[in-house]
Amino acid sequence: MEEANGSPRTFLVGLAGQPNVGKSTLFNLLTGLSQHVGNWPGKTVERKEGALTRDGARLRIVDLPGTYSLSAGSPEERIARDFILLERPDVVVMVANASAIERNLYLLAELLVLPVRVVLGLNMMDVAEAHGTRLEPSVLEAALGLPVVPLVATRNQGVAELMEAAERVAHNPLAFRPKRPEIRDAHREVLARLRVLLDGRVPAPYPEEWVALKLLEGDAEITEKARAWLPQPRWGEVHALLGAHEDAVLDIAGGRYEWIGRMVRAAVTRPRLGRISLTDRLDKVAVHPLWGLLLLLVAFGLVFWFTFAVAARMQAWLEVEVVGGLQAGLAEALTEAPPWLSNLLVDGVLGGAGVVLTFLPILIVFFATLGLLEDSGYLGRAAYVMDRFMHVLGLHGKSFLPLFLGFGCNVPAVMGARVIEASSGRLLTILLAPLVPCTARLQVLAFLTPVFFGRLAVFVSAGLVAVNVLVLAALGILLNRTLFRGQHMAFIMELPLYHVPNPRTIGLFVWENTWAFLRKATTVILVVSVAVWALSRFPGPGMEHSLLAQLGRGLAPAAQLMGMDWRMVVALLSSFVAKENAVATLGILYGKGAEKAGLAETLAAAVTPAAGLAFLTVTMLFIPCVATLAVMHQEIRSWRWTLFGVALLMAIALAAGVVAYQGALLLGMGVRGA
Amino acid sequence: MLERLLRLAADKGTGSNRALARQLEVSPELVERMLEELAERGYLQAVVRGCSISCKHCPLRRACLDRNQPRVWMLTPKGERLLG
Repeated sequence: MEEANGSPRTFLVGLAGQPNVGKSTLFNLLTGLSQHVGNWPGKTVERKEGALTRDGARLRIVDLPGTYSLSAGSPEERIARDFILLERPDVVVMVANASAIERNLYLLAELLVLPVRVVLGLNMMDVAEAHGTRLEPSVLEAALGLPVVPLVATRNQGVAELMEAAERVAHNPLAFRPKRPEIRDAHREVLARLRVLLDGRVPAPYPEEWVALKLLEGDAEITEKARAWLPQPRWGEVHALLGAHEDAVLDIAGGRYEWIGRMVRAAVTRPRLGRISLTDRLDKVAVHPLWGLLLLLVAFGLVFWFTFAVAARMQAWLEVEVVGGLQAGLAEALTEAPPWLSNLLVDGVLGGAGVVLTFLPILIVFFATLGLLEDSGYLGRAAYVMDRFMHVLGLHGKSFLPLFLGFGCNVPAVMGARVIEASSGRLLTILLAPLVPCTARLQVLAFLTPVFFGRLAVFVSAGLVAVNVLVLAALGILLNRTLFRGQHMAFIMELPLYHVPNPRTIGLFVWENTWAFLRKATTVILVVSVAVWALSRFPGPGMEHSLLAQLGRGLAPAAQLMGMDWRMVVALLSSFVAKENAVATLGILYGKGAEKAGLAETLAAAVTPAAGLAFLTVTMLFIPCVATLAVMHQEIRSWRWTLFGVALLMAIALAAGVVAYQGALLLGMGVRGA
Repeated sequence: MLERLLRLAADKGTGSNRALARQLEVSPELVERMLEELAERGYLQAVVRGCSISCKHCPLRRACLDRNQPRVWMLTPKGERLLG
């Protein structure tokens, strides 16, 4: 772009870079008041231009839109690319963010295949250093084969040097010999054949070599253009050649990454400080195939242990002192009122929903410990380890994410199965989802295991959770081999860095979940409590002659094999509405007669550990709650499969219950505790 | 490099980008960028959670266990074809 002799030389300079690298700061510094703003032809994107005169040369500087690459995927990318191709700047100054050098070098790799000379300004050197990244511009310059200038644009550092380098390159085009990304020989040959086919058909200003490269990369814009440039038979040949080398793009783009990797290895040192090295060290154990799985068991064991150690005692206190006290007080206050009202409030409402409310400490501690694991970044590792474990079992790998959600609640787990495209895999995941022990069932577990097993509660709980996981795995393998053909899938996970948990985040997590629980306790559970109470009274006289007793006794043959009486059967049935109801119902049906003792003591006196174990086993494996069932049907859209799922779970639960009871009897657990 | 990454990931069944970065002798950031590119080219697919709305706009976000979770990518049929 040389002007007439005598006047200063004018160079056209393009300012390129990714968004947020400080390009605008630099542009303002360089052009100041000389800026004028227009639009790119045919586009609504702003075109900013300005001029700078230095040492007798005039630089016309055009600020290109910020783009991550030059693949013509967005209007901005197309503008930047067309500017270089059509206006042929004397030099492009690329501004890069030194603290995210890899991503920035990608743009440079794409610039270097265009017919243009480039100088690189490494901005934000201060930020990079603060992140612990050390960049050596001179080494990078040697590796790239083009001028590299360190910058801190906000402090006007290095700007003059950058423009000097740009001017030098503009003056002396022949000296520009960058080291470009390489292409494998096989694809070089394809490129040569493409160029033969394109020969003489590519109009100016498009360089033939670049068009061939872009065709091989599958660039949509250039493909469209080439189709118009070439006569039909010729295009047919090109198209066939491209079709045969569809995966060449991986090699071409891969070459760029190899090039970036080389540059970074040469010029960047990242002392593994702080969180990164900590994460690497912790992950040696946390994502190890064996240690990781053990650590996961230990982590969940600790969550249970902590829950029992801290919260179970508070729960017992709340139940005996607070709810028990309220019951006694209310009964006294209502001596004048009709007996049914007093009974309803004392036994139905307080005895049922009230007892469930005493779960609050268990819930808070449980969610707090879980939140702690989650916020520190550990649960991501748990997902990773479990996923690998499930691969070993031959399970559909992608099922894991939705299933993992099931620990919170089975409803999102069922909905989460949508991520699986294959309908067989989706169905399998939905059928398995209710086997993931949700928090509601874990609460029942947390309340009842200490009742029946005292100090062994932690082990029994962990064992029951393990049973669920094992049944899930076994059923998964079975269904996978029989009904559905298994598919293998590769997964790549981006694990977050570990960090110190934020109390506020955990607090919010606990609060949201507690609040959701409170709403459930005061609505669904309250209604079911009242209904169970009513059904356990009528027609009477006494509970033994109630509708519920008749229903429960109707199911007695099955129940006997598991050592359960009709009250436990009814508790199981009521858990269909919401799992917590199992305890609420036990509270109403067993609460009678034990004035001073809490439900825990009454149950321990009335039920053998063997029957308790059977009850818990069935609760853990039983049919899903009504909300889960509704979502299952909504997602499967087939009553047949939904009912199949329910029947399957029912059969498994009852079988496991019988095995648990009979096994426990053999171990001498058929004797009532104190 | 991209094909190597894809092959490494597929062989392992499940891999983390940090481990892959170590094997390829590049930074995890570059692996991240490569995974994005493989997804753009149709060899990988980003696995989004099955919830009907994105986590960012989810009213249950604060109550969800699923915030600090890894981004997950899976092989597409195109990717499988390439690896043969």
